[in-house]
Amino acid sequence: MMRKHQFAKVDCNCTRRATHLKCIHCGVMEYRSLDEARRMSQGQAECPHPDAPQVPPQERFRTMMGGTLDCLAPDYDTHFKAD
Amino acid sequence: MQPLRVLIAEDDPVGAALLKGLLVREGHVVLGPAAMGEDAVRLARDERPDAVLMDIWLAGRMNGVEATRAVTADFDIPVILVTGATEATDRDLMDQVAGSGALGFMSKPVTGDALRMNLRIVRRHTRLLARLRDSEQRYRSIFDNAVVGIYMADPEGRYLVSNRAFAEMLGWSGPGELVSGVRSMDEQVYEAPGRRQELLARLRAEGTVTGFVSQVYGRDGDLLWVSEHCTAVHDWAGELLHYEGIVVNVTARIEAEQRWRTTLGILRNTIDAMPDHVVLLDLDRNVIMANASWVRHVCGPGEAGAAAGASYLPGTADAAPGAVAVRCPDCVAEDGGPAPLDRFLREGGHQSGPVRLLPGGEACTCSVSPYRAPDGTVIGAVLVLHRDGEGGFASAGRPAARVDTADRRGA
Ligand SMILES: [Zn+2]
Repeated sequence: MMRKHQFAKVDCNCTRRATHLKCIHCGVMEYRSLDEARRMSQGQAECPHPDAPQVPPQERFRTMMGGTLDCLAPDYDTHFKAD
Repeated sequence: MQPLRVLIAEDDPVGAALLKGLLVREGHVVLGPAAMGEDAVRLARDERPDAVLMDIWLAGRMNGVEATRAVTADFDIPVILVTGATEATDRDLMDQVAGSGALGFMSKPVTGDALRMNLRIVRRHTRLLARLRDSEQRYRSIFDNAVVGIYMADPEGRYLVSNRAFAEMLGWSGPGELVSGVRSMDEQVYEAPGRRQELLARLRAEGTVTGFVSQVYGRDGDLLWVSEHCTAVHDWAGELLHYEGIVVNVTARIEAEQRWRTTLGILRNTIDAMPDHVVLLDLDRNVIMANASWVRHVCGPGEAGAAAGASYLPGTADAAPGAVAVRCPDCVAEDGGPAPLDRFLREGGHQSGPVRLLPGGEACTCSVSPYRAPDGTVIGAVLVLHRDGEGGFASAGRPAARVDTADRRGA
């Protein structure tokens, strides 16, 4: 079963298109735009952390055929606000 | 400080000489004097002075107030009106002065201080005006040269302003032709009745509407697809005054989508028309896609999702609402060995053989073919169950075509 990253903005006040994103589960960092995080390929999206959300097999199959995965955390804008 | 070129309009030679003296003492250049209103306007037009000192009463048919109106409106030259002390108490006359467009006002006898003050206002006004013209020109050029269409329209359905790109998008030779030629956007532009009213309602409610895609008529009656981004402009009372639109022609994109949808529809109908069960599986036996025959077999013809057929993509955004889980076909080989799907998962390649479909034990031929990703790696299998003789599984359930008709009748 495949799991995917969930990225949130490290700097919540950053207004640039591309910004530092961090997976709220495994902590991996990426410098990307929010749009890019919404459309990640299978290789970019896979998260090794056991708490990361599972990708349904049908969704995973689509990424193997060129589809993309939404890897933005629901609270991507505010998740790291406390830090 | 740079001297100003000042035109004097005064029919009284003594008054004119007095003003001239004051101006020359300050280092300014004096033009005139013009004794008649008509002369003042003509001199202003020909000489383009920096300012005009205009007496309210002039010889000729045109008085100072009328001449001021002409000079400010036609040539944008600042005018300072000069009047006698008794006239300054005439309220009707002062109302006219206020509405004339004059920038300043002095009553006789004119003092050096009053003149200096008024000319300072003139200088400031001129600088401001130049800056305004400059920025207007800059925006004008962006507007005129934009690749996207830009327009302003009133709520009644007429274009007020358009740029060249928008006029040309709709097939008009220029913005002027579009503005005068379109008397009703509802009738002449938007194809769907009520489409613009829908836009207006959303503008009134939301202020801004983005990605509003409509089919519109070009000037020659040709149809195109446009996407609009509109912003409402309200008056102080919150009433919609007019709205501004930025328009992109998306005809090519919409037509490509329609072609793609048609192709997809043909593919879906084709696999749904097959009497065999066709199931696409991943390497963990999850059903990725199934045709109508298999979905009917699993769910029964009456259930939701039964007619979804090939569009059955569980677990994705494309899944039909209320679709139930479709399981992988469960078969045992007639010879008691491993079923073709098990052989495929172990050895790969193309596998087939006689099987019994569980539960029920219906005899059929199962064939499993590798399914490859664009890079060539095998990521799944296409499993086909074919019932020997008797016209396949279709004879047991309802034919796919009948499902389709029944659906349309029910809609
Ligand atoms: Zn992660």
